Amino acid sequence: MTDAEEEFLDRAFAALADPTRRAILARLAQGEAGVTELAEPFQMSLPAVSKHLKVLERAGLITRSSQAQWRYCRLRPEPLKRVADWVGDYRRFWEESYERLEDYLEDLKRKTETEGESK
Amino acid sequence: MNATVGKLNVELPEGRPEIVMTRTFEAARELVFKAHTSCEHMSHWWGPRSTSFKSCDVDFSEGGKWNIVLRDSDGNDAPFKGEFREIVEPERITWTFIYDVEPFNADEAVETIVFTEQDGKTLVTVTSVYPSIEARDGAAATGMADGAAETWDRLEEYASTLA
Repeated sequence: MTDAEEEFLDRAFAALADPTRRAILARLAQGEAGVTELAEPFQMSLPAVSKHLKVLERAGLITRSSQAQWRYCRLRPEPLKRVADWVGDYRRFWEESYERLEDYLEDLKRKTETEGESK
Repeated sequence: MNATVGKLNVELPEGRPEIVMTRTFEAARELVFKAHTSCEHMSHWWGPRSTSFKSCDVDFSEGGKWNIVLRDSDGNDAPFKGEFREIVEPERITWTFIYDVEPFNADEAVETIVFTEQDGKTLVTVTSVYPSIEARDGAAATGMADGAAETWDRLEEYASTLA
């Protein structure tokens, strides 16, 4: 993993730590939206929502259009996939280890039977 | 929420900073436990399929340290280390788990492996408390919110269709 990748994961995880930001991402998974629309479900001021958007943008999880009046936000799927991959790696570690353990236990059982002792 | 992955069952308990993995083995509990207690045993199975042990040092006692370097088929090394927190033979092992590469080594996950006897078989439950607690929930919630993804598996699928 490169330094840039590590830095990305750090930022992405920090950004994902907040429930409001997760809700915003969930909304954006359905399509792009403006700030006002994103703010609606939350009892939150527009500047407060903008702050969350800034964090998401810095983490690379969303993009915002550059036209000031129409600050449409859009989900960036690729970074999200990288986060999922990272978690998946961890699960696979155990999954594959335990598949190997199953084989090894068979070996051990056979050996134990041959030796006629359990320890 | 849970899902079966091969024979490994993965659960993400709600509101708790954990990932819980379970798997049943067709072997006596003592044997399964023993396989987790030394380099000699662990070198046969611990780590992804493409890896082997480059080095190993396991002091299997409470407070004892462990150090394992895995080498993959391309010759890349991945060092892991930690410390045994609790050992209850043959029921439970708690250790800390650190991927010893900067900056990941700033975080330590706590893994608890519980061995339960079930009709001559052994149920193994690995509970891992994530170093970045909210991160786990965060990634899960993001996938879930789309309405399709309830598991890591599906989150991955979901993400790959978007990409």
